[in-house]
Amino acid sequence: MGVVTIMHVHDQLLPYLERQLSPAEHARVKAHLKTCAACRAQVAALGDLTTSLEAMPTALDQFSLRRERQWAAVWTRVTDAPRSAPYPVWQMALSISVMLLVVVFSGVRFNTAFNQPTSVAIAQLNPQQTTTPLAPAARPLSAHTATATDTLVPSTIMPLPIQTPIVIAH
Amino acid sequence: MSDVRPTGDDLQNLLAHGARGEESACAALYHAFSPGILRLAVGLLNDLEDAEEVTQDTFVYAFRNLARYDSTKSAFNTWLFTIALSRCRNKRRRKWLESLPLSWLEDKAPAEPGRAIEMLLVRKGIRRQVWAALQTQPTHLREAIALRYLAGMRYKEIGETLQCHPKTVESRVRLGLANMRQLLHAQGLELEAEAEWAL
Repeated sequence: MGVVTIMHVHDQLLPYLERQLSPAEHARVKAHLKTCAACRAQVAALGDLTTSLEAMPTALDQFSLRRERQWAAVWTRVTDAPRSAPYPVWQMALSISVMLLVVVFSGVRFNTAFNQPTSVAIAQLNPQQTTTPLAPAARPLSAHTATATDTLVPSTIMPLPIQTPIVIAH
Repeated sequence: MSDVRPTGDDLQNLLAHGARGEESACAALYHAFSPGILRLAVGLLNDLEDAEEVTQDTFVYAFRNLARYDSTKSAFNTWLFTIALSRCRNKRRRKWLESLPLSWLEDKAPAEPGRAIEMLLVRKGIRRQVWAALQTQPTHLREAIALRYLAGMRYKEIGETLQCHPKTVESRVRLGLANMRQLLHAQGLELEAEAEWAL
């Protein structure tokens, strides 16, 4: 027993109505519509809707009657303002200068903060200093600053790791 | 479609003169293309005042930048409608934002600026529900339908304006129409069940 498959043409109904199908396709859809009530109802409803939509431009053109007044307003605006409004050179130069200053300043701050030796680093670099007594006058500044109470870098700029106090023998 | 738009050499001539700031050329371009732009804006904004403002903005921008228009990149029609579409989207966004605080604070129904448009369509024999059904469609579907039926553009031109494939445009139009049909059916408005011209 054979199975008859009905291939509906829903996707082709709009192109069919708009006459955008090839002659062969158009004939195929037309033949299908003659035998299929469901597709026929669909194409009729779709046709009714598109007819309403296609009638809208003529109706809406009533609003274009004020076109002359609108045109006067458009042309006034076009001629009043400069044709092209270039970005003022001095404003551009000022913006670039400010940006450069910001970049340079923040770079210097960051670099300074980054290059400050931490007490741990000092301890690692000069392990003898923690054990060898030095005269106060001969003590290097970095060794002096590497005490537990001193803060080398403000925590707001450069977070420091938790340090253990370094005991320097005097 | 009632629009008579210049094409080919006539259009190029008008564009060249318009780019030099000649009023007569710009006026000819405005009169040829403004009805389509206004219809599109009315269809997308559903407000005549906003649509007129968008139309005006579109042409002011276009005439100020006419010298920059490159005919090798896109058709003038497409360029102009792309500007209009962008302005319609901005307008809708601004209107939506402006309407938020008012609707929250005031417990009253929002104004119906589209009422005048519906009344005009009804006077011209077009059912009000069809316009209302169009307005309920999602933006991407409404844009495709408005460009197709109100602005009278071909699928290829719409594809260039919306930056998508013409087949995608066709699908959006088809889907939008199907949605509208369902909506009208749910409202009890029966579209023509049988039509001889369909065959």
